[in-house]
Amino acid sequence: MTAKTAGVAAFQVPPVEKSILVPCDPARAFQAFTAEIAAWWPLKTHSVGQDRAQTVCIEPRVGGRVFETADDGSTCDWGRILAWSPPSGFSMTWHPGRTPGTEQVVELSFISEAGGTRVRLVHRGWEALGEKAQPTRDSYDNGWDAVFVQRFGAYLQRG
Amino acid sequence: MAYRKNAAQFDALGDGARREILEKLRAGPRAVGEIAAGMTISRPAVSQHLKVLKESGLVAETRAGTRHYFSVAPEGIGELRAYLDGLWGDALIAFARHVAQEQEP
Repeated sequence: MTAKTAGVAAFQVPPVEKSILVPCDPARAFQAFTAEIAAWWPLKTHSVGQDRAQTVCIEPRVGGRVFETADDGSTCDWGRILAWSPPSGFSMTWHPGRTPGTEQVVELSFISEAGGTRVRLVHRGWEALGEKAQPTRDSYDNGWDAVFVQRFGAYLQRG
Repeated sequence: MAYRKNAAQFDALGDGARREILEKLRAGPRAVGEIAAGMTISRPAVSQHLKVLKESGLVAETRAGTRHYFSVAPEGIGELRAYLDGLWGDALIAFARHVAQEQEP
C-alpha cells in the first residue's frame, strides 16, 4: 500500500468552477476585475469584517497581497498572487479569515469569445498546497506560473 | 461573518493528517484503531484529529454496540462546496453588473 505517502494530501473537495460572459475585451475585463475590485466586490456579505470592511485591494504582481481594509485602517489578508499574466488571467491563494495553512487556490482566466470575454473561475482545494507547501513555495510558484501561462496563453485576445 | 461561517471545515481540511484520515474514510466507516494503523502519528493524536473533523461536520461517528465508527459526512463536504459556489456566484454577478454599467450610454 502506498496510501501512507500518496494519501497525505489526496483528499480534496471537487473544484468549484464558474464562468460568466462580459461585454468587453479581455484587457478591460482583467482591469475591471483586479484594479477596480473595490467598486464591485460585495463586501457587506463577502468579507471578514462585514459592515466594518471598507475596501478590498489586489496588488498587481506575483507575491502581491489580496486584502481587505477595515474602517479603523486595519487590514486582513485574503490571499497572495501566485501568477499574474494580464490580460489572460491570474491566480491567487485563498484563505480569508483563516490562517495561510488552510489556503486553497483560485484561478481566473479571461478569454475572448463572440460577444465579449468569458471570465472563468476555478476554486481548487488542497491537492497542491497545505502546510508542507511553504518551504517549496518558490519552486511551486514557478511551476504553477508555467502551467498557467501554457494553459491560458493560447487564449490571449485576438485583437 | 460570512467568510468565517465555514472556517471550521476549511481549518479541518488544512491539516495533512486530517486529509489522510478523510482519505482512509472514503473507503468506508473505520474504527479509530483501523484509522491509526499505518499512520505515523499516535492513536491519541488520531483521536484528536477525529474530534476536530467531527466538530467541523466533515466526519460522522456511529456506534455499533461498544464500537465507534467514523465515516465521511457527505453533507459536510456538500455544505463547503455550496458555500464556495454561492460566494463566487455572487461575486461574478456583481462583477458583470459593474462591467455592464459602464457600457451603458
